[in-house]
Amino acid sequence: MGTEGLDLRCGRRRLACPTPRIPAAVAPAALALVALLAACRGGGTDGGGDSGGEGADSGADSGADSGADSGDSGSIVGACEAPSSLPADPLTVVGASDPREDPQGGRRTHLIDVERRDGRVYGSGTGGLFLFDETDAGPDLVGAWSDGGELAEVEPLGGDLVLATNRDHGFFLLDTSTPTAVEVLARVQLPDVAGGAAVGDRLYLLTHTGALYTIDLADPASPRLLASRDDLGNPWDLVIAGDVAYVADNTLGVVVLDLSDPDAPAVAAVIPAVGPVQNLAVGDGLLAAAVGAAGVELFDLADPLAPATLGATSLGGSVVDVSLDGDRLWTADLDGVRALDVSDPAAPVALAFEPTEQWAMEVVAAGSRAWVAAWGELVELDLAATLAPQADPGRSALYVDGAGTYTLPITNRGGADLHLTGVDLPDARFTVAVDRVTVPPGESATVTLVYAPDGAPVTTALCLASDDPSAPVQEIPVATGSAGTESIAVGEVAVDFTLDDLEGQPHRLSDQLGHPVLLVYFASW
Amino acid sequence: MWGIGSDDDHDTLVAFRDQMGLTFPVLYDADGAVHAAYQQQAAFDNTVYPQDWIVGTDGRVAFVASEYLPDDLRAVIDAELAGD
Repeated sequence: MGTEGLDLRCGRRRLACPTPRIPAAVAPAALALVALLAACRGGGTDGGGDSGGEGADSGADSGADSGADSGDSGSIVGACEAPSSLPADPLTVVGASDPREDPQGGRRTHLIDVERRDGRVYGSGTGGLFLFDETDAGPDLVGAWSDGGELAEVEPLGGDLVLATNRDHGFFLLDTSTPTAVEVLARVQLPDVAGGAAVGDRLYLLTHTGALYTIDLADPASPRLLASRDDLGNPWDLVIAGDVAYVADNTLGVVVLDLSDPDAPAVAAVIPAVGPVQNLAVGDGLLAAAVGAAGVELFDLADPLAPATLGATSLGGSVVDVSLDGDRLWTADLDGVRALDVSDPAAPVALAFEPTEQWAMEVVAAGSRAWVAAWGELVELDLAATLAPQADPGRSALYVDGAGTYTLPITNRGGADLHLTGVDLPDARFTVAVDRVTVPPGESATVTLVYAPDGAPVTTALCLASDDPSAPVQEIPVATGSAGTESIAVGEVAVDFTLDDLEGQPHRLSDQLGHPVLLVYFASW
Repeated sequence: MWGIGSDDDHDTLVAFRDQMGLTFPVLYDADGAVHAAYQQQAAFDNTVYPQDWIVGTDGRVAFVASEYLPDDLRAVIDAELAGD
């Protein structure tokens, strides 16, 4: 199998994800690719419901019964209608740009990094670099550059100078003063390049193998290597505040670099975090770390060289990026984007959440606006000063493996009371109950399912309706799970099947008789 | 070698396949029928994905695993190809 240059990244920012390079000579390397990738945590696309229209003419009560709590919980079972009026969604989309549709950036792209500087927004991904102007209607694509292959990181360095990295090939320094004609000032070959940041004429560049390079950018057309060290773990990116840099290191945690001698960064501290650090953001006296399923960990920077943890907040999802602006902390957690109030950083308060159609990879915020690299598009959001509930079922599917009782918590991760208006599972083998209809912020209602199997497999869904304005109706698939039922054993005849591949070509298993076939069952998450 | 996805929709599988650069056919088990037929989810406690199943040259299941065991996979495939 031709596998030269195959790069086993588990997408971006996956939790506890191995990042080995498998040489092309190892066969079959493609098997390794699928199995390793499938073993990584990732993001689903089913965050939140996508149909708000079902409830438009429902007769179900909305918030009127908020005074009587559990007494009404029986009345909402058996229907799944959103309330006829929903609270205003505090986090709304101002505009979005799908770079595929523009003739200049005509290749399909998956955006995985977004940065913003001086009124311009930069997105990078599989299609290269995309440049957007900020407008009242959202990001407007004004230029693109695709000669560098897939670009993992983009970092605007000021004065239209942009750093872009390609993990396999190294980094580029680009002049973007004419967005339709991006000029390459310098190209440096380096393997396994991760992120970087600059201050003054110094660029600090990381690699996934644990190296840190100090590079002189006084003449951007001729970058000069000043120093290097090789003792980091698996760093992804770094942020700089004054003469201190903070490295997001997947294995070590937060690595603090003293830049008082800019040509010789020194490690001042290594602070383990509660989870693998995916990304960092630094604000006034505060450092925020995206730590995957553990959420966000905040650190006090009263002593900038000795961050002190203030604790971690988990709000569901897998947080892969953070952005800090004043008292607002923003997170991208693959399912969507969240805004929190951190005026008391020891006790962050969730304000709003907006699910994205595709994976929310990175977020950068300023004031009430946030820009999100959301896989297929660049989305701009606006945060209003209102509060709304958010219904989080906490899982994307429920598997049942035998008769019994199953529970599902519905947690309100928003800033206002959540009102459940409908819970329904249209399968007679299940009885459904919910213990409360009004859920204050931070608390949960519990949906209880009692399953009486009849031998046939289960393929149904639990429907949940509420006044969550960003997802008023949600469906959680319910299916027969592992254990308790029989599977085809080794030695038995494999059941024949015909399935189409993604191009619509059919493949029939029995056509392969006489050849061994490896079937790999996987999911993108 | 075939990949089979049934827990994602078609567009997600395409995006995943493109992003990861997979070169082998990825089959779309839209209604989960093949997964159900193999009782794929029942095969291992708490491990829905990934699963590797090898169907031998005689059409019978030769090997099933829920962890990544490249040496075992290669050994079984080599044995099948050698006609054992």
